[in-house]
This record gives sequence, structure tokens and C-alpha cells, in this order.
Amino acid sequence: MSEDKLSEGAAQSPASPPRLGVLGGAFNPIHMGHLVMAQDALELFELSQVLFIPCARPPHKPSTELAPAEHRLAMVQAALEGDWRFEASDIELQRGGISWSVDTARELRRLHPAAEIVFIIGADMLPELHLWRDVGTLLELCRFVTLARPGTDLEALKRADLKLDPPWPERLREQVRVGHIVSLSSTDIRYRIAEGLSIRYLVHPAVDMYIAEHHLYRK
Amino acid sequence: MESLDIAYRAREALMSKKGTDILIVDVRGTSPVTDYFVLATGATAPQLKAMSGAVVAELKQDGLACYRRSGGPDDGWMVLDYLDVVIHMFQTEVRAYYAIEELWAGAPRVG
Repeated sequence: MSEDKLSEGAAQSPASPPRLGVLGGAFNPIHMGHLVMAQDALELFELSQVLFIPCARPPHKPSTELAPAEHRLAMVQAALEGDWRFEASDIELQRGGISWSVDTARELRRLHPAAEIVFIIGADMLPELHLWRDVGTLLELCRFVTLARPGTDLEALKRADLKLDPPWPERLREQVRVGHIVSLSSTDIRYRIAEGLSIRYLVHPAVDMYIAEHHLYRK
Repeated sequence: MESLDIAYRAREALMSKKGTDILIVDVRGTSPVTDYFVLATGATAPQLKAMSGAVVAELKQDGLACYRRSGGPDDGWMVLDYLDVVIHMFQTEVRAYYAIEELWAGAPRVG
């Protein structure tokens, strides 16, 4: 994190420890939904910055359709160019193997001891959080914040059994906010590319160009 | 190599490049992710680079490879992550801004 980014923290008062947001995922490719989600989280949870961390190998999905790491990272960097609130991080790609979030949390705590690490997730991931590796340790190492789409039944979410030991269910429920609705998926975007359909407006223009120049996601 | 020895080695290397305000903070029991943080100040970006290079070279002689590096001289903040020991090097104003040692006000300093 550069000094400039933290001193001009996006939504945070300078007195409190910096809150470093983390948005993980395959970013295969990164799309507008990811960017809107990160911006929403930055504002709603008063984060100083959001790190976009492309995974090496995703923990719960097969890696079959994953574009090579260098391309996924380059697309993230292209999408974030010029936005000082967001930064691409290659720590999971450097580490390699299956990208367990608990390992990432440990690394981030060593690199940024003064910051609070804040993992950003969608509401659909909340009921499955208990399946994450070493989830107890992970919850101790960082804060989890959840963004829900408008229209999400927040009451149902709050009543749902998160299958975690106290105090985690209560703490997680307190950190749920409603963000913008963006129903984009990387799967759909890859499909459109393969079918020769335009992905303009669905991804950052620099990402559109990168995909075209490198012939990614074609049949 | 014991983590405290790693911290001592790092301190020697930092001193060899005239790093100042070197602190070894014992966070065993306080931090779940490492045993010692070593903090140091460099007056200029080139000095930070020299300090970082010296630590890496020194620990390499002991057979230790750096797990992760972060930051560059021009960021005013460089980090060397050796897992059991993490070395944070700052330019003067940056270290003051983050008041990083206040984080561990209660943690023992190693002489």
C-alpha cells in the first residue's frame, strides 16, 4: 500500500486503523460487477482501499476453464488502472496451489500489521462460509463483510443458520449491507465471447481490448 | 534457525546499512501470524533499498529465502516476510504517520 493511498483514504477517517478490503476470486475475467461490488464495499464499510486478489487455483471449483494466471492478473490491473482506491495483488498467484483464504489472511496480516483486513463476500457465500478451510482461524484473522443485492430477503438471511460457533453468526449478520444490483457473471461473459457476442459495457474497456488482443475465451 | 536468531541477523544487516530506530518486537502469543516484527527506518529511498538488499543477502547466507516482499523504495515502505519474522522498513515520515509500534505497545521489545 502506498502512503498516498492510505493518507487519502476513500471513505475512512484518518484516526482509525486503515481498513484494507479484500476481494478474491478467479476474475476469469474481471467484470463490472466486481468493480461495482468493490466500490459499494469501500463506501458502505468505510474501507481505505480494496485489494483485488486473483486466485491461483480456486478452492471449491475445478480449474478447467481458467485463463492463465498472467492474463487474469493483467486484466485486473487493466481494469483498475487509474483508480487509486483499488489495487491488484498477486500474492495468491505467487503462492500458487489452491488459494485458501486463511493463508491469504495470514500473509496480509504480516504485510499490513497496522491494518484491519476486511474480506468482502456476496450474500450467496454467507451460508457456505462454514465450509471454508480453517474458517475459525480465518474469522479471527480478519473481518468479513457481506454485500447483498437489492431485493435480498435480509430478514431470512439474518435468521439463517450459518452453522458457525458463536460469536461469529451474530458478528457476520451485523456486517451485511445492500449494494447495487449487477447480475453479471464471468461464465456468461466467457460464453458471449465464445459466441462472438459483444461484451462492451459488461467489462472495463481495457479488459475488452485485452481479451481481443490476446484471443482469450474463444471456442 | 530460531526465529529470534533470524531477527538478530536482520538487525545486523539493517545496522550495516545505517538503518536507525531498529526495534525487535516479540509478538509470540500476541500475533497468530508471526513471532517477531523487526522495524527500521531509512532516511532515503536508496537507503531503504540498500537495507532491504542487505537483509536478503545476510539471511540468504544462512540458507533462508524470503517468502514474500512488498513495497518498493519509492513507496517509503518495504516489507520482507520470512514467515516467523517480518521486517518492515520505513522512511522517516512514513513510520511516524503509521505509528506502527503503538500497535504493539504492550508487546516486549527484544534488546
